[in-house]
Amino acid sequence: MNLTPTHSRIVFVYPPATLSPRPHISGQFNLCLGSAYIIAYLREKGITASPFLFNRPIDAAECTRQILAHKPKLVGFTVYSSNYCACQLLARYLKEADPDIIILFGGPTPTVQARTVLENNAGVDICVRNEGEETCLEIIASLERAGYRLPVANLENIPGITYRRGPDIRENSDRLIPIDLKKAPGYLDRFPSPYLSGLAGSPRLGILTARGCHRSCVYCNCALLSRRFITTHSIDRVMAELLYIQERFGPPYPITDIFDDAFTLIPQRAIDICRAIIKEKIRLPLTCVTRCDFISEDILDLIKEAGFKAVGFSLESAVPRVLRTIGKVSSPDTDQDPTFEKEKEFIDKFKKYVVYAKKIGIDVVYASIMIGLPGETEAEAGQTIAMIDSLKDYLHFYAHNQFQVYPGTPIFANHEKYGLKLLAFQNRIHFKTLYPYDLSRIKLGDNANLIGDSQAQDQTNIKTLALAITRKNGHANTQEAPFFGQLILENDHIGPGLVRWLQRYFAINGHIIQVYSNLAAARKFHLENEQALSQYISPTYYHAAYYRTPLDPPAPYPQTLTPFRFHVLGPQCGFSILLTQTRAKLDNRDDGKDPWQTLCIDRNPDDTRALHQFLVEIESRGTSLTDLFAAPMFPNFHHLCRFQGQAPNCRVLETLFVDEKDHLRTCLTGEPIGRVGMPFEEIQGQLIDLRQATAKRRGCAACPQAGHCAQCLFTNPLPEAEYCSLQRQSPVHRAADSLRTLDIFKDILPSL
Amino acid sequence: MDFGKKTLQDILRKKIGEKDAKQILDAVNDAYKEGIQGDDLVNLFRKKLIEQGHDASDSSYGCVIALA
Repeated sequence: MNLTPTHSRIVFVYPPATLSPRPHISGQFNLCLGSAYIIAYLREKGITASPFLFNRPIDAAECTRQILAHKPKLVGFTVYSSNYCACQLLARYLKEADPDIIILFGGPTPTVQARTVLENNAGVDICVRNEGEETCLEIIASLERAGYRLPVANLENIPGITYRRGPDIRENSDRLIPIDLKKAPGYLDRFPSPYLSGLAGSPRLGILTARGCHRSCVYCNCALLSRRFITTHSIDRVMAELLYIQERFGPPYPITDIFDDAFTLIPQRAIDICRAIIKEKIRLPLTCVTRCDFISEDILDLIKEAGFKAVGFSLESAVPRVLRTIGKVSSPDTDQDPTFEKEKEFIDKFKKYVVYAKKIGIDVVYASIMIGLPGETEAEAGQTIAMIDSLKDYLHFYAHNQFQVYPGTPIFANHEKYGLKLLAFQNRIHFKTLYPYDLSRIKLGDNANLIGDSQAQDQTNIKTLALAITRKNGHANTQEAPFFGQLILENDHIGPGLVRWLQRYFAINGHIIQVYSNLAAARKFHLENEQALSQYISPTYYHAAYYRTPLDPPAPYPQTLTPFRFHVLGPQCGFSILLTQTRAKLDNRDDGKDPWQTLCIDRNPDDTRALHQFLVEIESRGTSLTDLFAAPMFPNFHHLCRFQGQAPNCRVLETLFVDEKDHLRTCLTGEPIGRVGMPFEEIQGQLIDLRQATAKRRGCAACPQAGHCAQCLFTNPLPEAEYCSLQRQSPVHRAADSLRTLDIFKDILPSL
Repeated sequence: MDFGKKTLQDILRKKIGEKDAKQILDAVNDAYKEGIQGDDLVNLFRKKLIEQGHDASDSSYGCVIALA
């Protein structure tokens, strides 16, 4: 089907929802491989389609305006459970702004829960199930014929969609492709390459050499969605993409992920691809995931020779009976092999090939496991970890996952049989898996990825608590940003009022850090709060939880913030943030406490004086980054921003604190600047008035330090006059700015 | 100003070697002196790492990471 070129505009949106501890990518709207394929295909057919790309955080209202600037007739969303709320919110805003825009949801969540999605969201018109290229083309062709008047468009004959027609929800048949067609080598070449068509501007999108899986794993819907069939690109097409990436993006050659469900599921094809890579002299550092029952030493040799930098093996469990239950090797329904010989062989091969892969020099060999699997006991989970630990000299890391029951997977229907429970959130999209035993009791293996990632996340969060402003809003001058990106919640309860306020004024995928009053409160409210974020449609799902713990024996500032994560994933996952008074830390610098895990807070004037004196000390020793990188690491200072030359948080409004009375503050010791529910513009307006009044009162206009002074609005606990005096007599903005700059590297370096 | 012995420079040297660490830190310091800050500086840091052949990606090699 080819359409005549049209002015109709189709925009595809992939809202960010990363749970990555690396926050710098968390606010971006990027291209994803699924919609990239669809866009490339539509363009080939003469349709004006484009991705919505945005490289810095943005709130839902501004995002809606930016999407509308494309003048779209149809907006398609790539929807996962993790970005579902952001998709809901944007769909609603778009529909409110222009009811004629047709909203389409595609991706994993609409594929398995199309009816629920439509029931939940009056603004969503069509759900595309499974692969979207041809389905989208047929939808657009039909809409073109109907002049984009959805009520009269003929959608009845388009397979693979569920859609709204008046008050009804109609579910068309699945899109079935004849087996003969699908099994032809290169079947997928009918879809143009996102790279070769010039659409993909970054190699980070990765590539697919094949789609689908033919296995029977009960926890995964890859095989289900592909009807246990693998469709492939031709080797020539794969080589053309890799050569393009090499020439377009290198040197240096970028790491390029092959995102096939498992690269060697058709072993001979993997061999052919590797040989072609070697023949074409492609030098990209490639990565892939494989299975130890579909690989051999010969294939690993070829993989190494082809330049693969990383190879991952999915193990899931080291217990044969558990492997059978989850269908990893043999179907759980099989009545053959009652002693699990195939599973035992699988485990032996896993060990053998992990060792071999490392031995032949593949840089990064890693594995993935799950604990909490159906029918698994606590001791058996420990067995899996023990086996992984026995291979730690060969495994760069292992992905330590907790088993989750997802809708659409075979286990969803019979999870209760294994003692698992599912808690359905009100939207019936999000579910919480409840296990028969406490998974946090399982000690992680030494090289679990969660250990480093959790530490990086705590570093990110301590940086946020220290108000280390990164200008993520993209507005160098403060009062322009109509939203904020980080929320410190100092109360126990999230209600609808807060979430609805966040919808208006919080960045999509912004960071919420909730500090519960104690462990009991965290246990009581955390799940409820997660449900509230889902139910009331939060623009973010980043919700890090800590609780206050008194120190024993009491310290100068007797608290730590302990990650609630310890009680979910285990006590190895991250670190407690030690809150201490600034002067106490500066008077006792080598107290054995990791400075990176310490947050210094000014509680009395001596704290602020000590901080200032410390900055004077740095000014005298040198404030270049080179000097500071070579100095022993510094703790985090919550009140550093009052001495920096850059605008502090009370002017930038990147982070807001909400207390138990819903008051808003810009730092822990600041005065309230408003309440939850207030329009952000009003808060900004009040702060502008306050700044002007403060500047007038202090005589800032005539101050020689005016150009370098942060002009902190809330100098507590230091008297205002003394603050001005310190700033005038001994300016320390260079030292403060340099320390701030060091802060931004703290969560990156350890996780490299 | 001794808060202990560990330095950021040590961490970087351990991960990528002394020579590469020096080159990257010099480049970052030069950029900082020219007024580059915040995420822009981090991006420059990552770019330099990649240019020297180090892995500065956010990829966890295809693994899904779920942190509470």
